[in-house]
Amino acid sequence: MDASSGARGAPLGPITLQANGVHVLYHPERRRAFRAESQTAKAVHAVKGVSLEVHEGEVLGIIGANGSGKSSLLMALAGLLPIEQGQVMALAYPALLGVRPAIRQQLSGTDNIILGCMALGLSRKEAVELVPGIVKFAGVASHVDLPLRTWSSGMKARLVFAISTSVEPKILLVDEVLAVGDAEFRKRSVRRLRQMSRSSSTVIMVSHKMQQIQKVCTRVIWLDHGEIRAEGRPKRVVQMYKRYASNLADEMDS
Amino acid sequence: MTTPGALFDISKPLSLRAYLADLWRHRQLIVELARADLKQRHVDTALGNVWYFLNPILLTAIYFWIFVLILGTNRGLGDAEFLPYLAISVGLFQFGQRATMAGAKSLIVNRRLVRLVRFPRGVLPISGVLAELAAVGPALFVGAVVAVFAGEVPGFDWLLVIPAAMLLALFITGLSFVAARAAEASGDVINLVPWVFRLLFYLSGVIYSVDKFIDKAWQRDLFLINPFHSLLSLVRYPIVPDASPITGPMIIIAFGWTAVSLLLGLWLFRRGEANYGRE
Repeated sequence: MDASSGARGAPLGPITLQANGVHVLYHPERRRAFRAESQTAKAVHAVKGVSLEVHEGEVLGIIGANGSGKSSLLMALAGLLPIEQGQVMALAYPALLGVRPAIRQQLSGTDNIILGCMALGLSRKEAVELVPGIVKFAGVASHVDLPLRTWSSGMKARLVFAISTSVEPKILLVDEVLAVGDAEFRKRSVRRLRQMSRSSSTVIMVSHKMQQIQKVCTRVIWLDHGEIRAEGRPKRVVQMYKRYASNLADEMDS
Repeated sequence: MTTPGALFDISKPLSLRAYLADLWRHRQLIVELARADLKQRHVDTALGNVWYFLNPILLTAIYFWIFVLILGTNRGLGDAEFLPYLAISVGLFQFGQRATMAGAKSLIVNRRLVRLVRFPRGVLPISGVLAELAAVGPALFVGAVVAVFAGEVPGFDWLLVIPAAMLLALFITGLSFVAARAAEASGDVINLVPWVFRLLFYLSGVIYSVDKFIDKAWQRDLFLINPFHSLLSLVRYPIVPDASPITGPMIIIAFGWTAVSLLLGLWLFRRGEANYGRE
């Protein structure tokens, strides 16, 4: 493990986010207490005692199979999921960039940008000032006054990415969104995330795209059944994960 | 929140004081969400804001025709005298019902936002009530115009309807906190809200004067318990003092209910805070 320096050799800044033995449980029966069939539903233990530390300027990647608890961990780190046990300490509330954005189909691009920025903690004035830059980065100038229901899904995804990264959150959590847009936009997204980590932000991203993980991240965690299986340099951890995944596939075929 | 540069526990719920401070910090978001709500609503209408005036006018006209002209529920009051009474009551009661419903639905319609962004969830019911509050000004205006036509003389004391309407809005805010928590726990609540309000509507003297209609003292006391009876009387009083007299107990009840609804609402709502938006 390389805890003292980033994978690219730069010295690490102070800790911005710290998880101590975090457990996340889903209790399906609690949510639907009035329905009889749910009596038998069992709690799902999605994250089992994960501890991690992330520093300023780091881009931490989280990889793992479907259902390994990646998204639950990310939600817990964002303070959006109550944790059963453990603690999440942070310098600021992290911003989460997810695949299913909170946009309003009836409202125009501009209105959505302002609302989105304000939901992430900006004042109205600050939000209005960011509009031109966000429109430019997302490349949606031609549609900005039209309601979002008329936009293509790619445009919407680009807009949401541009909003979340433009508010310059101290800690940005990214859930599987680097797959959006065309090749050119993906390239610019990667560049922007790197830029953010240089400007003293912390980025934590979940992705299945191993190539992207290796390109962007300074450190990678492999999550397996809610536990950290390996942690370290992106190349090494990704290789371990790939080897494990292909062995598993062979076993299942035979 | 804490000193800059220091880590703080983001998984721990905020204390009541910190929560209220957090709500205050998000006041611009409350306004923006209400604004977005209103914009969305008027996207497909040709008349747009005119509906704020048309709604209370049409509603008042219907109730006046059915209950006053046909059934004569204005017992003891002249038709003209009763019209402003009716206009103000109907407009404000409708605000109460719509705002509570907006609060009840607020966590559900904003589910995606709740899943993705951390902010004090109290922002949502408050902004739901705020969006509906936009209809109160026009409703009061319609009521005042009707009152002038009915022969009331306008004066500065009419401005007292503003604090009275604010008190009603605060009561409704508390109520919408309760409704939001309940609706999040069970979808049945959304279906129940209109029925509760229908009952309160008939039991609050919106379409008839309780004083002139209910003879038995104990029955009148029963009406006194209904928060809408006292709160709406307070709003009506500055404009139609003769048709809608108020008493000391009514003032106490109006303030008491508002305090109870706000405290209970905040307490119940915060207890569910961590779990809103979960699958």
